[in-house]
This record gives sequence, C-alpha cells and structure tokens, in this order.
Amino acid sequence: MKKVLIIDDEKRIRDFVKRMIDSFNLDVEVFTDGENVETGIESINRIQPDIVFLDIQMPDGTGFDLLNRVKDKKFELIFITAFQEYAIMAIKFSALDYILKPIDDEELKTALQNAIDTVDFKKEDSQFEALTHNLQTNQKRKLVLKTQESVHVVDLSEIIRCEADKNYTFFYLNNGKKILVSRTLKDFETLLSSHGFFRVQQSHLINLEYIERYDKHEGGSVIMRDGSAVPLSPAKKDQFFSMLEKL
Amino acid sequence: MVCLLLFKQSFAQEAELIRFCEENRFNPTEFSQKLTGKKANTPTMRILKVYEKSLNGNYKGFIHDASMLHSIKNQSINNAFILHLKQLEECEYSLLNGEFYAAKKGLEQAVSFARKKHENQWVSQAYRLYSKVYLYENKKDSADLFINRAIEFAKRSTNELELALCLHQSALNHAQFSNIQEAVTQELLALQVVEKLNNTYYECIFNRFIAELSLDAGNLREAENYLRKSQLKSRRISSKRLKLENDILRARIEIRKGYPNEVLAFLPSSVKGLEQLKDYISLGEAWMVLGETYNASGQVNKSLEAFNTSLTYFEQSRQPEKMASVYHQIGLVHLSKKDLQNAEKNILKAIVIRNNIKERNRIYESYFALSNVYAAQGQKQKAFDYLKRHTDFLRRNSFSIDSKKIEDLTQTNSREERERLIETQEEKLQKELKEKEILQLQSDRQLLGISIVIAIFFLSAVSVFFIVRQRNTLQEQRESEMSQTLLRSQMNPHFIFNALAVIQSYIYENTPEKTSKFLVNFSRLIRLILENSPKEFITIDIEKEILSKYLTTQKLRFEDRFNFNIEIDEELIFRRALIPPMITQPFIENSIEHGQLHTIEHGIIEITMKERFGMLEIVITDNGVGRSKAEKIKKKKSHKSMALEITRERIEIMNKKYKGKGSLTIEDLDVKQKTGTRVIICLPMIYENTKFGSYEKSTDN
Repeated sequence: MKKVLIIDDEKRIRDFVKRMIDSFNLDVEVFTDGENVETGIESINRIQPDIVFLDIQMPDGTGFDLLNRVKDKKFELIFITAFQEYAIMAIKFSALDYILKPIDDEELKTALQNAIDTVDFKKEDSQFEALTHNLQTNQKRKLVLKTQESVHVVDLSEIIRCEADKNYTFFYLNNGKKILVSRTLKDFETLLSSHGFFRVQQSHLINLEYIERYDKHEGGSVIMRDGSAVPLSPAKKDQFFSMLEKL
Repeated sequence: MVCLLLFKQSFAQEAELIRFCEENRFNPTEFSQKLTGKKANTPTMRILKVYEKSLNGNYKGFIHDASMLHSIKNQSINNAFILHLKQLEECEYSLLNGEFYAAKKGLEQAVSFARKKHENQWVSQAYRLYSKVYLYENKKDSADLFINRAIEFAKRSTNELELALCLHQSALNHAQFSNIQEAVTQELLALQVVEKLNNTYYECIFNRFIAELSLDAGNLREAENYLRKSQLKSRRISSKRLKLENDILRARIEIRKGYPNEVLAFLPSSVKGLEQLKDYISLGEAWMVLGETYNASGQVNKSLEAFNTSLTYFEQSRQPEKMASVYHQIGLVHLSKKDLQNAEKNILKAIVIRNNIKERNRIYESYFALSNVYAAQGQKQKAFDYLKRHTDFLRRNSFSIDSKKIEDLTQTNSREERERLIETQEEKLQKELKEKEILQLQSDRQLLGISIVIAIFFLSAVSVFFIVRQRNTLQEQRESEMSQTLLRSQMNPHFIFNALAVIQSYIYENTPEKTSKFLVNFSRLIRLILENSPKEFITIDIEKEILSKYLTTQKLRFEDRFNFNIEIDEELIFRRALIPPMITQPFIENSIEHGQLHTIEHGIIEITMKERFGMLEIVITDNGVGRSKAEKIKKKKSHKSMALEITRERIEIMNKKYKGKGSLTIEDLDVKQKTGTRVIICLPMIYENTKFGSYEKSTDN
C-alpha cells in the first residue's frame, strides 16, 4: 500500500481530493495533514509518503519553498495549482507532473497511476534542482528528459534536434548522445518553440542555432552542424526563412 | 371561465398602468386617458384613480376619493408600487387638509417602505412630497433639505423623469422664497432632463414655469419666448389642459402689455374649458386674471365677481399665497374706485395671510398699497409707517434681487447680443482686411508676394507646432488612460480558480444548499468585477458590494475561520463619492493569504472608508501575523510587491489628474509585537457630479 500526502492550505480541498482518490479504489492510503510549508515538511518527515500532492500557493510560502527545505526527497511529486503560468512552464520543463484546480478526476487518476508506477524507481535530486533552476530563469532553461532508466538534465543549447517516433521522441545532443523519451514531439514543440526551436517538418523539431546550411536538392532540406539532414516541409518554407532572417 | 378571463384581462391592464407610472415617458394627460372608462372596482384601480386626480389638479374629486383611501386594506394590495402610491396619496390628502404632522408621519413610513424595497425612485418621490409639505408650512430650510435628498435618490434611480420632477419642485421652492434666479436655474435643469427624455408634457409645463418666472421678474420678452415654446409643445400632444393653462399665462402677459380687450376675446372660453377639467388651482388663476382684465377694461363689478370666484377656488385648493394676491388685487380695485374702507380691509387680509406664511416679497407691495389707502384716508402717520416699511424693503432688496433677476434672466439675451456684437466686429475686421489687401495689391506686388510667403511659412510653422503639441498631449492622455486600464486591479485568476475548486468540493460533499449559496455569491462577485473593473471610477456603494462579496467568498473558502467588517461613512455613500475599482483588493488578499488570517484564532479584517481632511481615507486593518513575519517566510516576493507598485502608480495618476495628495502607507498594527497590518490609502475626494455637473455648466455659463 502506497502512502499519499496532500498538502494544500484549504482543508476543504484536501478533504475533497482525498474523497476523489478514495473513489478510485487504488491501493493507497491518503493523508491530509499538511496545510502550509511548515506543517507540510513536518508531515513529510513523519509520514514518509510515497506520493505528495503539493499546492503551489500557500500562506507561508510556495510549494517550491517546501521542496527546497526537504532534504531527502524520496517521493513522487504532483503539483496542484489553480493558476500559476510561470510555475507551470517551469514544472513542464522539469518533467514533473501537475494537475489543475478545479480537478478533473481522469487527470488526477492518470497522474496518480503514473506516480504509483514509478514510485519504486530510484529518485534523483537532479530533477528538483532543474526545477529550482527553471523557476529562477526564463532564458537558459534546463530540460529534464525522463527515460525508463534514468533522468537526464540537459541545457537547451545542448540539443541539436528532436525527431518523432510515434509517441516517442528522440533527442540528438551535441555530444553525440541520443535520448529516447516517451512523450510526443508535439509536447516538446509547445515547450521549446519560444526558445529558438522550430518544427521544420511533421516529425522534426530543430534548434535553429545548429543549422549549417540549407540544401535545395530533393525538395529542400536543412543540414545541421552534426551533418544530419532534416527535410523541410514546403508548407513551412516561408516561415522557416523568415525565422532564419531574425537570427 | 369568462369570469377568469375578465379577471386576467383587468389584471394585465393594471400591470400595464403600473408600468406606465414608472416610465420616463409618463405624463398625467396620457395617464388619465388610459384610465377613462376603466372601473374602479379593484383596490389597485381605486388608488390609481386617486393618483390621477391629484396629478391633474382635480382637488374636489381628489379630496372625495382620497378620504376613502383608509378603507382600502393594505393586505388587499398585492403590488408594492400601489402600496407605496397609497401611502403617498394619503399624505397628499393630509397635506391638503392642512394636517402637516400627519402628512410627515405618513411620509416617514413611505420613505422607510421605499428604502426597504430598495426603490430609489420611490424614496425620491416620498422625499419630494416631504419637501412640498415643508413648502406649504413655509419652512425653507427643511424644504431645501428634503428636495436635495429627493434629488440624490432620483439620481440613483433609473427613472430620469423623477430627477426632472425633483428639480421642478426645487424650482417651485425657490420661487416661493423669492429666489427667482435659483428657481430659473433649477427649472432649466429640469427642462434639459425632460428634453433629453422627449417628454413633451413636462417640457410644456417647465417651459411655462420659466415663462411665469420671467414674467414675475418683469422680463416680458423672455416670458413670451418661453410661453411660445410651451404652446408649441402643448399643441404637439394636443392636451387640452396644457393649452388652457397656457392661455392663462398668455392673458397675464397681455394684461402686463396693456391689452385687456385681447384677453377678453379668449379667456372666458378658456375658463369654461377649465371648469370641465375641474383643475382648481388653474381655475383660481384664470378667474384672478379675468378679474384683473375686467378691472383694466373698467368693468369694476365684473372684476370683483371674478376675484371672488377665484378666491373660492384657491380656498378649496389651499393656496394661501394666491388668496393673498387676490385680496391684494381686490383691495386695489376698491382703492381705484375710492372705496377706501373695503380697500383697507382687503389689503390687510392680504398682509395677514402673507405674514402668516412668512411671505417676504410681495408683502411689501401690500404695504405700499396700504400706505396709499391710508394716504387717501388722510391718516398720514399710518401711511408714513407702511411707506417706510415698503422703502426699507426696497433699499434692502432692490440691489440684490433686481440685479440678480436682471442678470440671470437677461443673461441669454446678453449672450445673444454679445454674439451679435462679435459677428459685426468680425465683419468689420474682414472689411478692413480686404481694404488693406486691395491697398497692398495696388502698392507693391513683389512685397506682397514675399510677405505672403513669409506669412504662409509662419502660419504653417505655427500650425505644425500646435498640431504636434496637440498630438503629444493627446498621446500623453491616451497613454495615461491606457496605463490606468492596464494598472486597474484585476482579480487574481488564482483566486477565481480556487473558488471554482471550492464549488467542486461542495458538489462532492453533496451539499446543494451550500454549493448554491457559494456559487451565487461568487457569480455575483464576478459579475460586479466584469461590469466595474473597466471603469475608471465606481461609486463607493458598489465598491462596498464587491468587497463584501469578495470577503464572503474568501470566508466560505476558509470555512469561516476569520471575520470581516466593512464600515463606510453613510455620508460618502449618500453623496456618491467615487473610488477606483478594487483599489483595496490586493491588500485584502494579502491580509487573508499572507497575514494567515485563516490560521490564527479570531482573525479579523476591518475596512473603513471616511472623509478626512477633504480626502477619502481608506484603512484596511488585520490582526494577522504581521508584515515582518510574512516577509521572513518568503524573501523573494517580487510579484506581491507588484500589486503595491501598481497601487502606488494608480494613486500617482489620480494625483496628477485631480491635483491631489493621495498616498499609501503601510504599518504594523501592534508596533511592539510587530503583528497585524494597517494599510492607509488616501485618495483625492471625487463625487459623482459629472453627469449633473454638465447640466450645471451649460446653464451657468
């Protein structure tokens, strides 16, 4: 049986999330003892939960403040938030999970199920460090890539390009590494398009900084600095060149 | 079945009549047309009929019907407006019977009834009648006070006609207390309102009253001018009553101009018409004017007869001032035919009445007339005494009143004349310019060419300068307005979604009453915010509503773990002080969420607004954990202080725009313990006079 702890400043919401989770009939025990940063830390230390639902906005600080003060983070983390745009972007970059208030029971169930499935894997602090980093800056963000085996934290400037493979995405890094992540290219496009990345074709997202040249042959393709050639969709041509001009 | 149908039909008719009473296009003529042929077989119908009689000056009918009002049981009336109307008409009845105390008692109830129903228009109507009662009692200050209250409520109501009627009543008050200038000013405002509403009936009435006031002040031209306007309007709605009343005024003007025979050609038939309408005040007036006319054309006996008829009408409609006028006239008639005894008797009657009602204007005419009577009788001492009173009055008032009247009433004329003068001057100037041009043409073409080039260059430079400057100021204005909109406090979306989550939790608890209560409160709040946040200013009562809804939502969210108290000086609400929307909201949010009011015992937040040293002072106090602790907890709080900055900037902008010294101060409530927080916001005091002010400006000139 997994232990789930809900930390939120509204008792009403804690009780209600518990009620919702209980209705899923999963093998979990739900605790609702945290109502702010102080009591939240105390409950984590006492209960040693496997999964923590954490509200971001609390009276005596944020959920991030709480995380910074918990030394041994041996739990799966799911943020609960009503509205916090800047934080949500940072959470996404850090490949952490979150649910929005009001809460969709399907979303809650999926998030909880995912957390239960990964509870037994080894936890690494690097993901939380990336989150702290991403919360502080909007410019040079770090992207967390979670694979079956491990958690990679990469600078955006290390990524040359991404390639879709059905519901998976391959990352090609400038050190020659290739990482496979089980998230769609679409997800990464929304994250990265405002950070100098461009989707040149259905299954290709490239970092504009790594373009070497444009090759007109065979309908046109983009040659990257690692020598790889990426096809350019005719529909994206105009947009692509205007992007290049801005560089 | 048929019975039910009839019942339904009559019910619909009643509903339509009631609706009509509260519309901007309401007028007594149409109202009585709608009522004719309808049976007074229900309480509602009976009350409406009484109302109709009072509106149309049918005093005999009114007194007869109104005396039965008390027999209608309140329980039998199912419409609040009718109940309100019944109260008013009962008071009107008391008033006409001279029972002022009863009238005021009744009105007190009417006001509290209307206030309970939150009907500003009704409150205004009750206060307006209050003012009328005080007018009958000759209590100037009280009459002024109550009409001003009525105006305040009328402005708050959606019915603009009510505002016009209040302004009209205010003009009547001023006229009675001989402040012709104010009377004209108020009546012009009233006129503007009904002109905007296109309410021809009242346009007619108000134009006529201005004509009457002009006539009193001796400005025949203006009187004729406004009478013409009134006649035009009365023709447009073909109201017999309005036409006949206009006839009376026309007669008065003709007499003043010295054409009694003209008057005799139309007035007798007008009087017949009025008799059909049973409007006693108008009848009294008509007979009085007829008396004057007969006197002017040398038919003394007919004149006295007419005056006596006039007296009976005025007596029945309780118009002591008018009665005094008639006695005065009768005295003059007797004086002219050397019946000194009767002259003395009647003029003394006029003086007694005018003394009783504390009339302070026309009474001196009577003194003068009486002095003449005594002089003719050879009683020199008495003649001298009254003459002295008369001259004393003249010395005291001639300068102030006459100059005021003249200034006020000829103001429009002089304006026209000024305009005409400017026009002729312009023509002259242009002529001179042309002559110069011709001269120059003749003298030196080259020089002309050069000077034209220079002139054009200079002009274009100047105009470019001005255009650029104007554009800059426009730009600045726009920018400041824009930043104002951007700065305008928006409800934190975080709060909105949290509230929605609370609704969701209620649903899960399966407590429909709580859910519904919360949902309604929250949706009202959102509606208020959507409606009001784009505005630059809102009235304090709306702000109060927003804050109380907001705090109620927060309170429900945190399960009543804190209390709040909003205290706003009634005077501010009453005078419709303005405030930028939700300027206090960030601080309240701060108190609740960071002062941790919901985590401590007996958490309370208090908001007070009052006037202090001519500024609007808003104080927000909480007994939360205090700033230093809240600050310590989160060192890098950049976005909360943004609300602080935004508020400071909003106050700055307001200061610039209204040249005020607004400020924002934040301090600890308990200085030693460093707990609790007090936020003091001072803003320039602004009242919602803009709408009304524009009327005033246009007439003040």
